[in-house]
Amino acid sequence: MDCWIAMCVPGGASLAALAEVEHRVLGLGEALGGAPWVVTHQVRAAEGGHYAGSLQTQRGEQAVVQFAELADASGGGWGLVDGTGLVRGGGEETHMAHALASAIAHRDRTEGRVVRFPGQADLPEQLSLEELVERTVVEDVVRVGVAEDASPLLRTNGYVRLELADGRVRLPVIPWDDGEVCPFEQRDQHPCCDGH
Amino acid sequence: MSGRHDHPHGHHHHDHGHDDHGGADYSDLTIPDTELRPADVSRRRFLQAAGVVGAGLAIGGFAGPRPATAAPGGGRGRLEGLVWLNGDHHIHTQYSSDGLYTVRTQVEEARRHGVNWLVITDHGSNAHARIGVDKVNPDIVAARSELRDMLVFQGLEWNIPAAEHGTVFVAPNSNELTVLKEFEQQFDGTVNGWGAGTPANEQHAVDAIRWLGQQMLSGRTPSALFLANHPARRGIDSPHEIRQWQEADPRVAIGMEGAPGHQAASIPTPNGPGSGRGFYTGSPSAASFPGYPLESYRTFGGFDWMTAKVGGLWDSLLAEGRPWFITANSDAHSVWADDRIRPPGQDNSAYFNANGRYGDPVSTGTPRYDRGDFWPGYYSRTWVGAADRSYMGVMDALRAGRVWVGHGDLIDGLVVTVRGSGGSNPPGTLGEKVTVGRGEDVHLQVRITPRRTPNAHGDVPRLARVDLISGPVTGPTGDRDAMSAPATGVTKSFEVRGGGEMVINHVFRAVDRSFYLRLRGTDGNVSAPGSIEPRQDPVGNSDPWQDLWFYANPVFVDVV
Repeated sequence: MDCWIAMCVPGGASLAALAEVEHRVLGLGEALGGAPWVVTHQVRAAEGGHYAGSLQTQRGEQAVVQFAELADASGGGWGLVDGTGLVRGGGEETHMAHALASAIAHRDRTEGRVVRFPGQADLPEQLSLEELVERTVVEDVVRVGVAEDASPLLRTNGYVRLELADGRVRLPVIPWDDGEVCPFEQRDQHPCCDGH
Repeated sequence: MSGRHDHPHGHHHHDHGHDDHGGADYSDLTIPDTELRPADVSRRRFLQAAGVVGAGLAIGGFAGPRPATAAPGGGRGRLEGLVWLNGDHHIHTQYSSDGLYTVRTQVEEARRHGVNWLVITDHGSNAHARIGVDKVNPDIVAARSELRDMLVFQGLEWNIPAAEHGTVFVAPNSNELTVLKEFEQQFDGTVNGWGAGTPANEQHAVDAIRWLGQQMLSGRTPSALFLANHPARRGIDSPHEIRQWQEADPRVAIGMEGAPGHQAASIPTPNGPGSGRGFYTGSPSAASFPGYPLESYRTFGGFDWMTAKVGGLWDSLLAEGRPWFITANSDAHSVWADDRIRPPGQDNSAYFNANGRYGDPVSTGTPRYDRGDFWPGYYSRTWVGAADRSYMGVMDALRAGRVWVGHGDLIDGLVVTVRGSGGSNPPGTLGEKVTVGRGEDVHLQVRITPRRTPNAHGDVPRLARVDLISGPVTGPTGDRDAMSAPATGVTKSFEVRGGGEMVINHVFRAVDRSFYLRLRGTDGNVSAPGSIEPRQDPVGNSDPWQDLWFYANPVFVDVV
């Protein structure tokens, strides 16, 4: 049975903190034999924003062991949900709550940044927006600064991150190189001033 | 120097413990302006604006800061005689952990590109607060001495607690280093670990701005200013924080970068970095204000979304009547096509942390096209209408909002005059508030000096269109995170033909409510699809030289 499991760790809101969460959850996914969907989540909390990471798996018990171990080691929390209403969690209480909220958001596709998704490796370098919706998991294209009546080609630049919102899988796109579009999220986000 | 002095008019002696300026007492209004030094005239004006002098109060008897003036200054009634000086308040050197050049190099390059004033703003950091802030000061003092036609301020790129970066700078005096160092050590978000977006950290930013104001009122510094840098880049300067900063002390917190630096960043590879203009390539983060749309993370015609979006965040602040002004700067760290690098062995973080700086850069003979910055004055300029060519003149003009900004030297001059038809109130210009009677006509005149010589790219830019933007001033909004002004829009566009001086006249007929107006102009090469609005700059390829704009600060019209 599919389940969705997440971990939330203190670590701040920087790009480095996001990369760390992403790295950890991707690693857990690989340890589970591969996870088709890996998602990061923004956590807004009184002590400051930070991140959670989640994945979808059918190996729930194994995932619980791994997520709990990592959460304990980092002072974070973990949470698991499935499609029947089962809810489990552990670790630091506040972060457990964030992790559970993130797992639910992943399951319900209400919030999240999709790092891994089915078919990702097979995406061509260039395709039309129509093809994108027809042939991939992307359900909607969000045009940011791109005319609605235009039919531009999408240049993936080998880096595609999707978003979950309103129960849908979306790809925001922006103008690229005068005439094409590219995913909104850029691989190089110019970490600010050497990170300080 | 003692504050005790004689005065030819036989005034009694004044004894001010803080007074190290050595001139006549600028707080004594019986002494005419003409007998004060220019810097002291500026001090007097500042204190008058603050309500500290002019009401029979001596400075020595003033216990603390008064409620800050939160309104634009009135029309001066004197539009001639201003000295228009261009500058840049956002420049890095080898004293920044991501910097490269010496102070001398930055000042010389700025001078070579026609800049009159500049602010050295190395990043706040532990190494800078501990070492760099002290070490950079002699370099700045030497540059002032050796390049006497340049006004070189010492500043800081402040890590604003809970927010982005900002320029903080002070007028030179014997305390400049002390004030800047104390500020950085007490209030820098990185130095103090106040980066997280919490209410407590937001309050630290407010406290910091107030502290700067107190340094002015106590006489430790003649003037201090703060401007928010690249405000929309990461979405972490929320609308309510901007309002908090401005309210904390409107004489200190005066505005934001309307256009960020790093304007070469979007030159496509292999001739440029092939990134986003201004290095605006980010996405919303866990620290971002959730209300900002995705488009706000990109630039528009090289300008920050907060400024470029008509009826957007900047307009929402202006519609409240807030004097919140824009600038444009280079943010020069390492310059496009320059061949210098840090010297081997003095190019690493261990060296920087131990010395507060990197070694002086060395030439390689190979231009580096993967860099995203232009030299100060090479592409971006902030023009200020100063009463005189002085440090205080520049700072007073910035504070007054007598400022317009431009890219690529699209135009060389802009003079804006607003007057009521009744003729009973003084006219005003950029940054000012002109008072008119209800039902009067309001006459706007704009005089534009075209560019007649090649800019740094070798082009002679041609202004194609000027847009007059206006909207009602409706007073404070109840929503501290408001970021739109729906009633603001382009009132009229003026197509430009010919290459001579351009004069635009426009009349707002029988005005019945207070409003503000502002201007922008473009070379007309690029616009958003089906619109006259600036285009969202494509990542990877948007030629900064083919999409030039100027923006002017607002004139407020108070209808009574």
